[in-house]
Amino acid sequence: MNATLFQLLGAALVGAGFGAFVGRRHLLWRIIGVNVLGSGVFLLLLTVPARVGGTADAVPQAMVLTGIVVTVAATALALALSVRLAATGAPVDDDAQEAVPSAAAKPAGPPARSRPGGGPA
Amino acid sequence: MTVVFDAVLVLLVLAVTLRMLTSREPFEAVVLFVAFGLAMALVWVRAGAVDVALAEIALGAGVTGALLVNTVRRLRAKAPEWLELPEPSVARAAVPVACGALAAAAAFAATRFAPAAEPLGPRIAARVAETPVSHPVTAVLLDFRAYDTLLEIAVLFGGLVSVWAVERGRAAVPPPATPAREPVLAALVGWIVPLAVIAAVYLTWMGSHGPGGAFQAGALLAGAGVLLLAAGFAQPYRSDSAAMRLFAAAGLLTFAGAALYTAVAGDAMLRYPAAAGYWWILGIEAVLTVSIAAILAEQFADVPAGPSSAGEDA
Repeated sequence: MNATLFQLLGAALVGAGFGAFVGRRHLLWRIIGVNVLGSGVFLLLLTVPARVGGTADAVPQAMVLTGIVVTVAATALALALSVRLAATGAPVDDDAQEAVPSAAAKPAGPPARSRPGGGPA
Repeated sequence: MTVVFDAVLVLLVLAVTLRMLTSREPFEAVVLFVAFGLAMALVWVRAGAVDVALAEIALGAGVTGALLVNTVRRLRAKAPEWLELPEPSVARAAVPVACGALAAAAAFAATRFAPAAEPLGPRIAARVAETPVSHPVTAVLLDFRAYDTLLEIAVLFGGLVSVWAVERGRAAVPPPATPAREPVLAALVGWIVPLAVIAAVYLTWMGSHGPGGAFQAGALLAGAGVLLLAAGFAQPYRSDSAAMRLFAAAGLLTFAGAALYTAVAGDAMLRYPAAAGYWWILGIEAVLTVSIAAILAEQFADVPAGPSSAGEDA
């Protein structure tokens, strides 16, 4: 394998994922961005030791496997939280949260949580 | 020749990533995320990590992709205004510069600095014969560092409990009275589900001497379950059913029980009895497979019966 090529790809994925995480405002893309960032870190974790050993090392492989599983669990929780947030009527992104209450007189965001235990049908 | 292939692969991943992260349409981004996972799996194969490639396909592309589709579907049903995207703020021109600098720093560190420690691969290879299994990655996961895997299944279970807590009291999506059973869909499900079950059994067994293992097999089994749900062949179960809770907890309970038993009655925690070590590992892996499948499928507990909404989304 061309370790250098994949190391560069890993570095690029770290940058791109971080960019989406801080630059995009929609939570869906932020969650995807964290996943891309994680893939980049995994790729670096696996390919950097390969420069010494020549082949993929079993220990980083096991760590990356664990990392992928933990990422799935974290992503599932993040998506559940964002659906829940949407069901409360909160605005899509942080910036709008500051802008909306002054524009609309009706209670937007947290006050809408008065619906006891559950999203709208 | 392989250099050309690798270069094309890297460009493909980069193109998919950029398109996905700059997209304005949620469903497009989700489909590109699955494509990203599949392309990354090829990268893992080229990097010599077949186990990771299997996990990336089953968990990264498969389960996460299905979770994202499900999220878009639920947002569309509950809060469609969430999917009408606001214009991005133009003032954040600093972001591309910052992440470009981050990528450059990571690339510099990865390609210039040699790792100080010696790689562990040769040492693992030298001592894998002392374990009940012959595949180095499985030896690390279930013998040398078995407590990592114990904590991993604990994280997975903890994640499910957190999702239950977040979604407590949510309005269930009522299942349609009669599941739509289109002939093509029925034939497809009839082929895919048995094949997925066979492949999951094979992967679990394979883990002891080659790429495979409980997490990949469990994700595959969960995929079969989600397919049955989405195609209307199975009714959505309730997360408060005792059976589903037992299935979800079985892997953690079995693994923790094995750790406790070996710590009290054996030499050390998770040091299996020498004679039957293979069967201990195979047994733990088998329970983990079913339990991981239950945990992952539980994430889709309100997938409605009836045709998948993926078609409408396209």
